[in-house]
Amino acid sequence: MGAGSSFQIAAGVCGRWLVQKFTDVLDMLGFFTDCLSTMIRYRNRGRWLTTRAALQQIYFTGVQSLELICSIAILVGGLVVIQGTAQLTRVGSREGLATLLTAVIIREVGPLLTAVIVALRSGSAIAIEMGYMTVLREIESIEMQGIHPLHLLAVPRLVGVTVAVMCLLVFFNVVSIGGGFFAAWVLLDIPPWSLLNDLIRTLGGTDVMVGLVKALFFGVIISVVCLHQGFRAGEAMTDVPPRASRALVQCFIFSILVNVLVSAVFYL
Amino acid sequence: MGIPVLACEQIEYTDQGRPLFAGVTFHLEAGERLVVLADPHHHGEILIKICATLISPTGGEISWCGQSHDAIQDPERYELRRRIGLVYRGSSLISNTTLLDNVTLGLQYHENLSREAAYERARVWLGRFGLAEHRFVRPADLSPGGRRLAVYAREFVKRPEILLLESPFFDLDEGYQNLLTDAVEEIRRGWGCALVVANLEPGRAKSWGDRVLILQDGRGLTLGAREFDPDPYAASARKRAENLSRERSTA
Repeated sequence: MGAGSSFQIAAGVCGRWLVQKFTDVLDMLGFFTDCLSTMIRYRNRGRWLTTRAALQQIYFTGVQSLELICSIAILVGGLVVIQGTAQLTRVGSREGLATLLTAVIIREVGPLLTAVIVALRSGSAIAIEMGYMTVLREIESIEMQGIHPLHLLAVPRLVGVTVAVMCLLVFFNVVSIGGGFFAAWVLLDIPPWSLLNDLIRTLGGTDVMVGLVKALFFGVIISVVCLHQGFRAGEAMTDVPPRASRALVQCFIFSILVNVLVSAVFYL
Repeated sequence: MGIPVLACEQIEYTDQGRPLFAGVTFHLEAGERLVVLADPHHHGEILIKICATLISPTGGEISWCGQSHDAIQDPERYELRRRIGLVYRGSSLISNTTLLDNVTLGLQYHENLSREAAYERARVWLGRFGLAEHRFVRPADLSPGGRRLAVYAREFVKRPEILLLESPFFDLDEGYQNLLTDAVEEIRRGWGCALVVANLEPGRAKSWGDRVLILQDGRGLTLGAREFDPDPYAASARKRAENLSRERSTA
């Protein structure tokens, strides 16, 4: 087999892989637009049911994650201060600590870590729940009641997860900054009010807005990807775990991609 | 004679290139009953699902109260399903929802009723099937017969114009079978619900149907209930099943 034909085979494999990935992304975009269209078309139906489902989702994704978010946020804040101080001391400038906290936590780590926690906790649960409902024909039962399953099941989860992620991000940032301040006070004898003044000077409206924009995108990505994979489960129970696993991997990849894109747009 | 509630013309179905049945034709008026005896049984389930709009036929035409399958878009399809009751072997309840929410799902969604208001509407069927005191439990806490009755209650609560049943007595003991038989007859007489029942025991075909559709060897043959003789049909079905079992064991 010549080098030319080997190259052709390799190119073919890569090409087919790219086309498959592109098709998957288009499928997900199509699913998202289906959710939006059912949300508008059936907006007068099932208000009580869908509102209750959305609130339940906010409670499960947001309120029940507070403890976990709080622990991780405090540790991350402390870690940034410890590492930041070590590096800044080397260059002889500890005044940049507040800037570091802003740049690292509020702009990048906060949104991304919040998304990771929500994807692991809520996203996997959503993918598995929808997968089993598909396999056990519960979706079919819903359809036979004249109810579009996307409107009853997908839309409340999409709204609930997105709202929860945005609220959790704010909580993460506040707790993380607080944790960082506390670590600086205890370890470095830097009073919190001094850091707070520096932070207020450094923190811009753009930083807050970028964080919320990222959280909005991450919430939509997590819910759409996990719902999409769950609804695509086949007829066997064994289809569900690989779908959930694939959903999590896709959540991480798309979240990181969007994170880079949004940061590039706003900060370059 | 008005527009048929359900009209099938030369319905055929092919699965992955393999033709399963063809030439199925029948018209059903309000209050009429059709029994479908299918060999093999899953052809009957497929026909029932075609009538319920869950599967599209690969040939022929089907219409519901004059609405043709080809002309129906998604919003109309979902409206149509509100008027069709479907219970087949694979019918299930939503596992993470209470019995009351399962049975009144359609009422709560389409009419924006609260749980309490929906329960008032569903009270008759829940009480009749002995489910009222279990209305706050999850389906997993009920017996298989209880779950099956809950599925029937869910379909009856929406007052369907067409009731499609497949293996109607699956998971039901004799007492519940009689309860169900009376309930189906009551709703048929009460609001003129048309009835299609697939995969019933041949001996019950005459009491359950005005007409019998025999789906065998890939073709449909419709007989009046009086013309239909269950004994030769049951014998030939048993023989076919034995032959099939012998072929599989030797293969």
